[in-house]
Amino acid sequence: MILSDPVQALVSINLILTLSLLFPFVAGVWSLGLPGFMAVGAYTAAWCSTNMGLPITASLAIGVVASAAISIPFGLLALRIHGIYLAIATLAAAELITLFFSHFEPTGGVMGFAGIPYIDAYWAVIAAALMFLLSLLIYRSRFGKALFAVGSDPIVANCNGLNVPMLQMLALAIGAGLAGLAGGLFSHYYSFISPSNFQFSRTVDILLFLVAGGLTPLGSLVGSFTLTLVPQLSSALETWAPALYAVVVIVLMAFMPGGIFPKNRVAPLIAYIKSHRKPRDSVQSQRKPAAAPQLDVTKN
Amino acid sequence: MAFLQLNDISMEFSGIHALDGVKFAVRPGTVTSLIGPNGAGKTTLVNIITGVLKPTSGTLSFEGQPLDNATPRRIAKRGIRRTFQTVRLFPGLTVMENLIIGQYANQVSERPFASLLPFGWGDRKQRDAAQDVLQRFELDMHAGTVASELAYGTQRRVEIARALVGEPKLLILDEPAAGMNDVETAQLRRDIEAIRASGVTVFLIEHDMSLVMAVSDDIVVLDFGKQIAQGSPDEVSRNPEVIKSYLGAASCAPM
Repeated sequence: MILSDPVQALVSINLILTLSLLFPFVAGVWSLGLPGFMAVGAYTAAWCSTNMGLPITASLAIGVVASAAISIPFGLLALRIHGIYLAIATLAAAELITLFFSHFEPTGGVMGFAGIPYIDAYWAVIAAALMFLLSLLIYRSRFGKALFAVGSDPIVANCNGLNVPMLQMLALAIGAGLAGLAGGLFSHYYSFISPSNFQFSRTVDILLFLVAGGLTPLGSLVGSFTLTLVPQLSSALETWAPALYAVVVIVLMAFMPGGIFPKNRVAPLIAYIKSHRKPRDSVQSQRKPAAAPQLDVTKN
Repeated sequence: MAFLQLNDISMEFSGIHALDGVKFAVRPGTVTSLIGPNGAGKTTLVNIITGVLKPTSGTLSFEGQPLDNATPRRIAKRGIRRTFQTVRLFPGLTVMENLIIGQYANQVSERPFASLLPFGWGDRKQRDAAQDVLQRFELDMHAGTVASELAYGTQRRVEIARALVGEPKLLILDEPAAGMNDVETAQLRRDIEAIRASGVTVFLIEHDMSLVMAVSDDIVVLDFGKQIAQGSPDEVSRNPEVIKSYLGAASCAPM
């Protein structure tokens, strides 16, 4: 592989984290509790594998369940407050979780939790690939469209018989589970975690990936990939590397305000490739353009 | 047993009586229209029937069962679907996906896990039903088009289609002809007649009097929140109070 092991792990974990923000956002739940969910997943999985001797896969799964469970109080919060106010409230709630782990001695407190069994980076890569496929499936399913509907107009969704609070809670739980998985992978890849790994700044990074990439699974993939790799590949620029990152972000936002993939453009991409594969068959391609705008939007 | 029965519905917004003792019934299998000048409380009444607003006083029942304190979701599941005065499709979704949302509630209660599959997988019946409605409304060529890119009149038809795929017993249309040209209104009239013929009761809120007179079995007239008349199109158009407050002498003449 071209990318080194640490970069592979970083890209994979960032992709899962970006997907974890995607589903709540699609359903209109502007929760920024990501570091909290990630911390719960990381500490739970680490505790299970280190102190209870469970296999790592089982530990990761328990971490996912634990963070999905911790999303329930966040979800109850989301039923009462909305938009930017929910973002601030969930931010504070996530800080509370980090604070808890800073003072919780059994997992090392501020000193951190060491000696967690190590896993190779390819675990993270496989997990990220699976989660990406799963996200694509969920996003394209009727359930995914229902989440989208709830996020875009909750009143109309409600008048169509959709259970808006339930769908929003589920979206949040899916997001929290993904963040928990990312946390579990994080703790096992680095073998060491401390509360300082789960700070607000991580949410900002991930939010940037999602906004730059676009609010779709494909956007999450592209956003997290490019923006994780830009600092890695531009390390030759030394002190100017962050400047390049900033320029990339500004250019992206200026020219693609909806993100790189505001819609899932897999289908039109395939259609485009197909239509250009046989350049000789010009008669057919001339007849086709009427169909193109329809293909463009089937998989938004 | 009345189909939809409203008993003395009153609604007060900070001291203003939007609705005052509205009382009428919708008979099953009919087209009942609600007319009245702007600000008469028509949309408020629709919002009360669909559970979006709670009336200050009064009761509602549907098929003999009370509708009071039911959420919009419950009311939708009991078979009352609506459109909105301003088109409210999910703009980012395609026409077909908008219809999926219309079907979603019924499907989830029948087959909860089928909703996790992409559209068309595992549930042929739902897909056929959606395509059937699309064909009836001549929307099949737009199935994959994002709703916000459609012409206004087409968006209106998609909204009616979305309400219909939910297999409602009562369909509430809130000013469906607003902003439509004559051709589109004529089309809408045929659509309403077809919906009625398929056994769905229609409750129509409308300003276009020629449309209302053509399709309605019963008409209810509201003025400043008060119900001033109810009856067949003939009776209502001859009612002096209706002529005075709404129709006006001139517009009444051609009827």
